[in-house]
Amino acid sequence: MLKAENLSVYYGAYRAVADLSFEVGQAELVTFIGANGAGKSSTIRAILGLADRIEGEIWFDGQNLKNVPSHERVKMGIRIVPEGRKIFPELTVLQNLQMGAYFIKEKARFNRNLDWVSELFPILIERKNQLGHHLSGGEQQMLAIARALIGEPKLLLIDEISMGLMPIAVDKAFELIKQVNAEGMTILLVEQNAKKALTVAKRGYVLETGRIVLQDTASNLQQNPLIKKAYLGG
Amino acid sequence: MLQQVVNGIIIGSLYALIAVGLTMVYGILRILHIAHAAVFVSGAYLGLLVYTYTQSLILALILAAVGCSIFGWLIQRFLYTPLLTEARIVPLIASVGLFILCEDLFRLLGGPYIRAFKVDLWFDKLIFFDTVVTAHQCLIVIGTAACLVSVYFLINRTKLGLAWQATAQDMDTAKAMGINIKQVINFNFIIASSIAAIAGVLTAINYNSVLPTMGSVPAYKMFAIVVLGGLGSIPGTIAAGLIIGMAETIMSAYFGFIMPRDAIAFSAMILILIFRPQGLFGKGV
Repeated sequence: MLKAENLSVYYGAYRAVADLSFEVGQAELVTFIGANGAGKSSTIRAILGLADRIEGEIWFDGQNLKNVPSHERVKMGIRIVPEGRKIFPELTVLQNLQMGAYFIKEKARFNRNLDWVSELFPILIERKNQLGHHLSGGEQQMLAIARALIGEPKLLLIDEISMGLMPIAVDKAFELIKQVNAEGMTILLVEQNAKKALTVAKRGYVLETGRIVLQDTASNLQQNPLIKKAYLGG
Repeated sequence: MLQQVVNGIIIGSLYALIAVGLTMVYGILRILHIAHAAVFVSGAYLGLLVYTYTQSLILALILAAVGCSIFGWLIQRFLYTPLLTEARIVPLIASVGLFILCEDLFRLLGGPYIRAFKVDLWFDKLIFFDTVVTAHQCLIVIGTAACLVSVYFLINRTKLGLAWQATAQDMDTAKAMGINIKQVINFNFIIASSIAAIAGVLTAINYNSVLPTMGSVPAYKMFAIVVLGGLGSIPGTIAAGLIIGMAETIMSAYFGFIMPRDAIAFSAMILILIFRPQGLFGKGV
């Protein structure tokens, strides 16, 4: 479904990611683990077409994404839960959700999706007319996830979902990721919390300073002594 | 007194019309769009030209708005967009440069003198007790109200307006949601420039004059207004325009000896920057 070959990502003259090749299959849940600054978020931004400049190739659904602007990529079905939530602070919860479903023209289809996310996050619908910045951190994270889901993603990119959340909210978020993946959604999960990420993912790539240093199934990575030592706390 | 309030509302609503465009451009591009005043003046000239040939005020307003939308779009496309990656001072200087260039162009094309813009409406004035509202003033109030209601509707009730709000709050995330930023920027400049054009025509009618330098004072005064209202806030800008218009009229009518009229807006700006830099209606910095 998603495939990158020799991908390098630049910000100005700075190369954040070098020569990455990876693949995410249909309905697969793949994770990128690595420390802060390893290039995980840059890779996600490149997939959405938000990086300054890239080298190499990215394919989505068999189509080369070269010269495809980011709004077209979103139209093709790539959605993101951005790092730091990034909900629109001065829009209401409902308007935030409308932004997530910007390409869904049919009112009935939007309402159907709205019903679905309301089942997942009942609290959001209770607060649908509140401004984004009035929500608590955990609610904002729910809104960020709901905003991505309501747009019917074919490929869901999730950037550091655990950051700044209470442990119980982290557990809930991962539970949900597992659930939507089980229902057939393709997910690329970028996470500093490697322990959590590897429990839900099928496969994982390990990034260090902008390069893939290791790739394996999630269960093998969990057993790998080097990974245990570096990322899983011994 | 009531007479002065009426006059203040008229001046204030013209200020608000000009300044709303400025705040919209700042809201999206974070550029101080001085050349907006050049768009305003070209609106007045275009309106006069069309009115002279057709004697139709509606046509003059519409064609001025269309012409200025194109002008505003050209500024955006060929001046600001190429400079977006530069430090913010660069497009600002370019904008000031374009404004000065335009003033001279207006002088070359329209002549260095004041041209009259005399419009006859179907009534002359309304008199309520001892307060006089001229037909031109009615026209200005109606025109302004129509513009501001349309802007409100476009921003708050349309899908593109929602995208505009999202882009103004966080352009990067708006992009990640699949918003076509170019489309939003075009929408932004078309609205901002058409209402500047209408403000130009209405101002020209109000003073019965069109002249090359009619944009110089508004160019800087609209900044004072936008700062007072809170940069990027549309309701704040409208309120600030009315406050300044009112303050100017009342101060010069009753306390004219304290300071010249045009100094009031700038004094208010300095006070606001010292005591409440986010503006009267802005949210914390």
